[in-house]
Amino acid sequence: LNDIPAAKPERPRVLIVEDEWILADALADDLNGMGYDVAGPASSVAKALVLIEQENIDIAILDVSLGSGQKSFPIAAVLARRDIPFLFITGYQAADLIPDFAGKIVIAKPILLDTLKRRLGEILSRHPAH
Amino acid sequence: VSRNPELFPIVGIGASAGGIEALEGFFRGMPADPGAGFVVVTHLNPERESILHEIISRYTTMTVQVAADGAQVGRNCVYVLPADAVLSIQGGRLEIKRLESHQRERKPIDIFLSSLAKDAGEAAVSVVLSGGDSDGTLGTKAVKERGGLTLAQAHNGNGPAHPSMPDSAISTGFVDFAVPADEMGTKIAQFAHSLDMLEAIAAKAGQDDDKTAEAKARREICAILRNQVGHDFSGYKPKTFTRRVQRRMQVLQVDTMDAYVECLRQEPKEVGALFRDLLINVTNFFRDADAFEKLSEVVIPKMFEGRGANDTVRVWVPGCATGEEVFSIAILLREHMDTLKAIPRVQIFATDIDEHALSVARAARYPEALLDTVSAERRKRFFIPDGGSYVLNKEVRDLCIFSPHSVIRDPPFSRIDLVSCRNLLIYFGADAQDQVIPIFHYSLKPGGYLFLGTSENVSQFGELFTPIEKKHRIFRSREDSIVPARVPMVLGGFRATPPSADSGTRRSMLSGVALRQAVEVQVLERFAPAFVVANRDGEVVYFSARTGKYIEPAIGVPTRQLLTIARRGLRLDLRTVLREAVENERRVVREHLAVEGDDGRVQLVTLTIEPVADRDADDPLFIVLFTDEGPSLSREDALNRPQIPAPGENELLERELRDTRERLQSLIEEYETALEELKSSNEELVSVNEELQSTNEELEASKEELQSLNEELQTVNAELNGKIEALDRANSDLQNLFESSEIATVFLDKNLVIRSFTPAVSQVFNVLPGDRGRPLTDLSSRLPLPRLAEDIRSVFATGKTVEHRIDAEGGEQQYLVRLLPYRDFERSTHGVIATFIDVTTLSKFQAHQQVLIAELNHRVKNMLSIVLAVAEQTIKSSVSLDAFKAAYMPRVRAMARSYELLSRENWKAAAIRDIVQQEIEPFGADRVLVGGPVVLLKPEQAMSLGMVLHELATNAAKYGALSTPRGTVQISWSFVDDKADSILLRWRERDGPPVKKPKQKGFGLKLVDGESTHRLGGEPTIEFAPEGLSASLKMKLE
Repeated sequence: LNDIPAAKPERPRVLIVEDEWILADALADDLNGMGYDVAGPASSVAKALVLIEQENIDIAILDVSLGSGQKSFPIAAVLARRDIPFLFITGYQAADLIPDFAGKIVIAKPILLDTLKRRLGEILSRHPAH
Repeated sequence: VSRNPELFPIVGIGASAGGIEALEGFFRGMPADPGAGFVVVTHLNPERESILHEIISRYTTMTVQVAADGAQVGRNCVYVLPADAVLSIQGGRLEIKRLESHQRERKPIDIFLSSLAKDAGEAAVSVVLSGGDSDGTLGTKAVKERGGLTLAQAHNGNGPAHPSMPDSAISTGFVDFAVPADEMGTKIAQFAHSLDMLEAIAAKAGQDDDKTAEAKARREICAILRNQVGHDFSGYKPKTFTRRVQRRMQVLQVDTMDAYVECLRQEPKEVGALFRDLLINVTNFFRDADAFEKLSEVVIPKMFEGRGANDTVRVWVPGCATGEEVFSIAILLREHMDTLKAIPRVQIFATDIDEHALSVARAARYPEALLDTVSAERRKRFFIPDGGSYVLNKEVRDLCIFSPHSVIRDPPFSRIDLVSCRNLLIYFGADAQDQVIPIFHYSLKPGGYLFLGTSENVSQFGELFTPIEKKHRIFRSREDSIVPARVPMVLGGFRATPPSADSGTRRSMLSGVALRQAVEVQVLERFAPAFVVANRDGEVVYFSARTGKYIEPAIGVPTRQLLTIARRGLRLDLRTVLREAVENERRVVREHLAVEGDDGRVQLVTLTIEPVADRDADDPLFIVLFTDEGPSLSREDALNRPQIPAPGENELLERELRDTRERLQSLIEEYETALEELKSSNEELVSVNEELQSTNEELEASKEELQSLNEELQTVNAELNGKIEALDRANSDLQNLFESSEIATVFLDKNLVIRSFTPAVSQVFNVLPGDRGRPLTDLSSRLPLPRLAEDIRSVFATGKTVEHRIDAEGGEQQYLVRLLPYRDFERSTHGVIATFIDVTTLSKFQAHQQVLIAELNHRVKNMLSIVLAVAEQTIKSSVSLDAFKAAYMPRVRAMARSYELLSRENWKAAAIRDIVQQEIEPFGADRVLVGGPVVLLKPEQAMSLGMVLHELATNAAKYGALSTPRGTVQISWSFVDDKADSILLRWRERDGPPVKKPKQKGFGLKLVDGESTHRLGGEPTIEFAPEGLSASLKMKLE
């Protein structure tokens, strides 16, 4: 989208998968402010997978539930295969909804920016950018 | 009359077998306020809890309670004997003695009644209801003795079922009212009332003795008694006397003393009844202690004097009733026997016509309260305590032989050393007394003793008995007395005096007869020839004076056989003549019989035997007359006398005759020896008979025990039957519960064997009704129960419930398995109850609920996030707080409207038209043209479309067509390329102010763009044409 400011090459690129546009838009603004480049936001699994193929993503933020019963787990599976770090955001109870990804970082909605910032920092420090 | 709160009757009720029906009748017939306290004593098995008090409380409004130790008996209260206890009363308070488990009180009724008699005295009431054996008889006596009221159940349509108990009490003669159970209540209520009145009367009588009408009536009654029975009661205490009279008045249903006096005048029977009531002289142990003291000091040593170990001392106690007198004498005899070296055999024949009383006596068991007069020493020596009663020991009991016998009707006992007949004669009329006293004389050995009651006497038979202790009525049979003709009444009522009905005229006649007799006796003695009266067997029944010349006592046992006691020379002819007289029933005379006297002189005698006139043919008597022929001769004269005829021939004949006579004599002697042998055989038989009798008594006692056992069994059986019925009902309830229960339940014992199960178990196990008794583990289960055996063991070990859920049929069904301990009365685990509850539906609901909650959470959180994000973005594009408010609030409201719409549709789908309608409504629906097919959108899309339309409408209201009064908006939608999977919606504004493309896109348009692209599924186009803004957006339908 046009209004995202031009990114510097060293800024990490974050994929946002979130079906609510308003949330995705706000999150993108926030991430830009925190010094990240934003890929997407994608509103569905298919769109997200296309973005993963096309863009060089450093980290992904996945909303668990993507509307109409769609879940973001297939995206997480692809990311894991590609060794791209990711974290979940969800309005559900975190623990019992992600059977295959137990132990992954989950941030509850509504998101606190400080938490998001810290989590992203932690993940990126463990996963040096490609 | 105001009631004295202290004084009210206490009613002791005894019942045994059949008692429940009788008690029912008793309490049903009870008036509402009887004014008495009731204590029910039953004869039940102590090892069983009785529910009697519950049964009774169904029939009465009075309080019914199980008697407690120390409970004060209250008016109109009912107390029931608890099981396994003996009840007594002291100072109006109940006393309970618990029995050891092995002890068994067989007569609890007597124990209570006798203590009640002692405690309550004249306020005591005894009631004997249905029951076997003779329980209550001693108690009734005790109550009567103390002046209480006595009742016993009489027959009517409703029992008693076992009449033996009340009959026994009635036959003692001490029962005031023999009425059916349901009529007793009224009598008791009357009694309670009269008790109060009595107090008043007695008090008045004490004040002015002579003036009151009562005193006058009392004097009249005394006069009647003195005239009719010859006993003066004027010295009696007025209170006691009035009470006894009052009691009789109550029995007769007479209201006033005057009426009663009238009744006495007309009914001689009533005089007798009153006399007996006044004399209530219930025999008790050592009653009249002084008399017994004298008996043991004076009489008993004499009775044993000169008796060796082979001799027998015989005592007869006629009218022994319940045996106290008998055992008192037996104790005295035993005490004396202890002092002897050679102890003769002692037999006490105790007789009574009343079999019930005899059975009480045979049992030899007495309540403690009746043993007041027995010294502690004697109690210890002769009684064995058993429960609350005392039983005489074998040493005393074995002396006594009890048998039914009537003094008047049956032949008397004979060769008796002591006849003790206390307080029996008062029950007999003058005639009967005149019969009985000679019988006693007849029974007694010469010099034997007669012991009578204090108010009895030998009356006109002074010639038969000499008083030894006049005060204590101890008499001695006169050895020298002429045996009166009355004695052999056994032989058919041979009497000198004809029986007469009226005692008044009898007395004067007697004096005439006596005069005549006296004269005749004198003539007979002085002038008549000697004679005896004998029966057809030669037994002498009467001797005249001066028979000694013709008769001498024979060797051996005394006998009345004329042929034995006749002097030599008479015997042969006596036999012949007697036989002739008997056979021909006429007078036979034999002359010139030579009788040799003691002095060796010979007397010639004419023997005349003649039947007594006016005797019936069956039992004729004969007068044997001995008439002397001139003076006695010397032996020589006598020998010479007949030697007048021819010498030779005569001598021969004479010799022959002498030889014959001698042969005859030896024959006679042989016959006599044989007779002796027969006699001794007879005696042996008699003793055998006595032994048999005592064996019989033992059998009788065993039979009684069996009877009482049987009764107990019957009672227990009745109770058991009741319980079985209750059990049946409970079982049937349980069965129905089992069948109606849809919960699969199995009862298992320790070995996992099935005890019972509900039909629903067949859903869980392949179980058939016949599988009761098989181990559960043998059955195949439809559920996976791998841990069942282990869990059951844990229930046994811990006693705690185990509960878990299991999935069946691949998770399609869920069961709740619950294992509970099966506890018995002692709370120990005896088995396991396993229940299997199908909770499939419940689980499904639970899971669904879980999903719903999670979904709700998600939605709320998402929504909050969105609201936050909207706020954030709106803030960024707002220049002031007012601008923020104007932009932000409607946005949130728009979202709320969309939510509401979706909520209405249950979050399934929403029609495009509805979404459009609700978004344009705030701006005036008449200015908006809406058109398109019916299309349903999914909730997410509906939400997005709502937001988009809101932003467009807001924009139009602010800058576009809706900002002027003429402007209109047209909203239309249609399927793209007529395909059902995609929709194109158009927004076109007309007649608004001229439109310019804004320099910078606001958040509103950004949202329109974002939402459309992001979720609705198509790039929107927005054209800022001068004639009006138009937008189109594509939506993908799924």
